[in-house]
Amino acid sequence: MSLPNESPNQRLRKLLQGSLSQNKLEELARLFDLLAQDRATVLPCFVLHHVCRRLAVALDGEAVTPQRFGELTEGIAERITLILMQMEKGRTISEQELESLVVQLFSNLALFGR
Amino acid sequence: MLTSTALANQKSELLEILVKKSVKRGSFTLSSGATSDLYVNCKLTALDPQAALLVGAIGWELLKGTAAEMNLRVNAVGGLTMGADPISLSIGIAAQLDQPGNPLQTFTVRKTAKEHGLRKRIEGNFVEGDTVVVVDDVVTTGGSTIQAIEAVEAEGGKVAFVIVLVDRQEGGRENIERRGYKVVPFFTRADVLAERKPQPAFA
Repeated sequence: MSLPNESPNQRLRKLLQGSLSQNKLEELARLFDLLAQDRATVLPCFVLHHVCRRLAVALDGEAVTPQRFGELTEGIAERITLILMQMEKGRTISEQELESLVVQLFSNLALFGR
Repeated sequence: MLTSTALANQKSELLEILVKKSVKRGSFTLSSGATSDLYVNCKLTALDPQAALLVGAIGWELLKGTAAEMNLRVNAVGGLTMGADPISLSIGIAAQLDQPGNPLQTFTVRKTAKEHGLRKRIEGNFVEGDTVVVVDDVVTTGGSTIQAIEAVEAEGGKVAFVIVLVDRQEGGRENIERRGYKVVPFFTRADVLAERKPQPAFA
């Protein structure tokens, strides 16, 4: 449901504004999947797609309190925005930056230590 | 055709199950990101065999009645997976029980296109040119219903109208109707709240 003249990056930036939601995450996942197939930054976009997808699945069909919602999404939009800004500048995304995002996701989902 | 009393009784029975199994009060962040004091997980009701019989019978009556009012012939019923899936199939089965040999078919709409093959979003019994009823479990902003409508139209279908299990009365119905599609709810938020017995808030 993007505007006809809106670039994928503009659409991504708009979706990343304000707090995330399941609907936004599903759309972000879809756009990163398209970008992963369409440009040189395949790996970062592939990781970003999976991070958004994983979080959207975690929220799907759950009675999530605002507090739990905050815990699940904490730091994700900010990290994705930083990576997106680097990509827009044509900079290479390091493995550490991607790992840091995935670590944040796993921490939010409380997957560490099980 | 059910009498209006029989239909009212079935709706009352279904509402009781819905409220018991699918409704929670408290503070929740919805899939749209909005906060609400009411959470409705219709899957628990639509996937309950006893409730599924009622969903089918009531849904089929709503579909038949609305199609007759609008003078439309409906070929198929379906909506966005997974919320719509059990509802569509229940309606399709009820149509067969009521009128053996009825040609009403059911289908499902993927949230995203399949990554390989034909990349189609609609699976099941749908063909280009079909007139369909789009169903959904809950309407809040109308986003998932509109996604299903867009997918049907992108693949050459015509949407007759929309049936939803619960209209949360948060603007979604109006968003869909602004696009020119009538929305027929089984229940509204007001029905759900009127049925709900007082009990401690969900933490």
